[in-house]
Amino acid sequence: MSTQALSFTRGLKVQIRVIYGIMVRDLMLRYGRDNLGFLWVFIEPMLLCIGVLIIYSLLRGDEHGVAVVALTLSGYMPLTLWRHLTNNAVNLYRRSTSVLYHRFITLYDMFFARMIMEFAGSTCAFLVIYLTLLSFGLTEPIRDPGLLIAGWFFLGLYGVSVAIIFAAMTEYWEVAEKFMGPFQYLTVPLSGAFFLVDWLPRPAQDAIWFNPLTHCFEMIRAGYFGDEIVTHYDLWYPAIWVIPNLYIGLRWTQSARARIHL
Amino acid sequence: MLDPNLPHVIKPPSQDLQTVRGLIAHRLWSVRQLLTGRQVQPAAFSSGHELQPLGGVTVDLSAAHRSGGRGRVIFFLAFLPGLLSIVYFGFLATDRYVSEAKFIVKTASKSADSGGLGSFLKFAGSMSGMSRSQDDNYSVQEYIKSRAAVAELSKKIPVREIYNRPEADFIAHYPSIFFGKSEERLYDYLQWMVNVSFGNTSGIATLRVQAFRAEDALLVTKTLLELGEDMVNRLNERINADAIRTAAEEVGRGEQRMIDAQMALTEFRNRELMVDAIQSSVVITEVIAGLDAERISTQAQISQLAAAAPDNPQIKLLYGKVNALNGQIADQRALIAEPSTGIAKKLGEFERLSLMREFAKMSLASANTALDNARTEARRQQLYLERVVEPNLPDFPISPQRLRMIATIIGGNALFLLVIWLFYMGVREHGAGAG
Repeated sequence: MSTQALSFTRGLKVQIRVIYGIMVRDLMLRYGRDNLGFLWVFIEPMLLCIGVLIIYSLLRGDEHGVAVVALTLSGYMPLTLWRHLTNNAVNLYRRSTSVLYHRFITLYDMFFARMIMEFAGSTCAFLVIYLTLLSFGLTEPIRDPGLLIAGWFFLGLYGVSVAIIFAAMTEYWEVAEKFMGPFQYLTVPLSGAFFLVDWLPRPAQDAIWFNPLTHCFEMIRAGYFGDEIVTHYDLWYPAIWVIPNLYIGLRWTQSARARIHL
Repeated sequence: MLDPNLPHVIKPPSQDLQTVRGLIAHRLWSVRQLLTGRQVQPAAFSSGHELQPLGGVTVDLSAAHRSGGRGRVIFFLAFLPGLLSIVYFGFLATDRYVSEAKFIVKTASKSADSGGLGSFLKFAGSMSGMSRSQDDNYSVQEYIKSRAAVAELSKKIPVREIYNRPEADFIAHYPSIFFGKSEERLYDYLQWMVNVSFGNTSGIATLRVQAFRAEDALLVTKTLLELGEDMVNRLNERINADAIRTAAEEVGRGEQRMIDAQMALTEFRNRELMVDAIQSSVVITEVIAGLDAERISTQAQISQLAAAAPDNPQIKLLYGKVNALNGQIADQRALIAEPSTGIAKKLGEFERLSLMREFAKMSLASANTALDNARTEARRQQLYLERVVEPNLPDFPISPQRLRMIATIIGGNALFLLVIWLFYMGVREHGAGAG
């Protein structure tokens, strides 16, 4: 018993260190040590978001009575998280086959290390932009942080569950990569990143309800604006996507491992 | 970061790979090998299929885990906020009752579009990006959250006492370590306890007040709502005063003019001893006409008599009558046409005065219409604060939401740690490169 418990905690520690190691490696590979280095992890989404913010706030002061800065921030940052999670999964294993020389590093390690880093980076970007805007009085404080955090985690979870399928799929079929772009372009505008579901006519609302992404976005919005706006989301709906997604993704990754020849 | 204690080349562990310990040791070794290898030639991992030999700079990963001090810091960062929140929300925080009221502020002109077509047009308007103005709603909302309202509130009810009930816990009550005794801090504190939110689509504002006793919550909600109503009434008075004042002044001027004209006319009548100059001249003219007719008939009689009986003594008599009639006619004519005292001159004066009275009457009538319009306009702009939901007396404390707050703090802390970790990792490795 005791040895098992010991091995579990040791195993956990080792797991953490493996993931940590992979993350450091990823960081260094992608951003190097020159200039800003790892800061790019969140400067990249920040630049994009700030650009969009400026354009939108120049175009319109408010939309349907909702401040456009807060609207953009609460729509674009989650979108950044989603895109970073899913885009980074594409060809993830193909790009770093060499790590697999170490027999104790699994595809899962690589995958989750990458996901954690992207999640942390996007979170960081959100925090920095939010705090900056808040300190300049450009946005109201978050009304319900608990709901926003929950939504953020939910979106992360859903993003990971889709990303693991992407990772395995692109490992199986190289051509799958080509479909990722169209997939993103089709799903993202329909996700509610740029509008509130409540603004849509009723039939469109009913249709968009089926996109699990929308629920995450709406949850984040509900947390950001409180009861200033009307939001439409259900917690269970993205959850019933996450579970089968993860199952399929994990199983697929397992079989993908066999296809990778060092 | 270089650790001089660590060997620059890591030897593979000698343990048997079948045992758990050996497995872990091997895994640990491989990670180190990986990391050190990466230090030498990062590119090797992305392109080459050959693992680089060990050597070069060694990254000391284990240092963080070995040193107890840093471990404690990590422990505090990771668990302390969660533990504190469990202790506070689980055991210390006192229940707070929440009283809620909903209200809507609207003007009379806006309430017209309640029909099907109206709501459709409104919907079409919202689709095209037009937003309806919510100034009136915001004005009440802003007022309820303002310092002025807080000052009014503490005049009407003992706010400081209400939030300093003995059962209140040390963080939530007022004054506390976070909120001092000054008015400004009371204002800050009430920002926490009083919440007004505005539904952008429904147009309904919700007022939520927390207090340690149910009746306190109700009292504060009621009083705040009343203050909001007072403010709306003040606004209305201002609107009324501004819009109606000028119109009312105009009516006053019209009335004065009317009175003046009437007075002038009356004075004229008294002076000239004549009710109506026109009427008088008509009477005189009629008199003249009568006299004239009589004169003509008398003359006719004379010529008749002169033809029949020229010596009739009556003829002389009749001549006398004609002369008298002529004299009368001349007198009556003089009454009208005499340059100094004749009616003709008075008639001019009289007509001028009656015209002036006529004009005064007309301008008074139009001023009255303008006043009526101003009143209607003011009524249309009138604001109404309508209570959609009356303040309720809560019978169960729903605040603080303990589990939710704990979950929020733990979740937020996790995110925060993640960010800190990213920074730590980045800065560490960045520094390693520089060194």
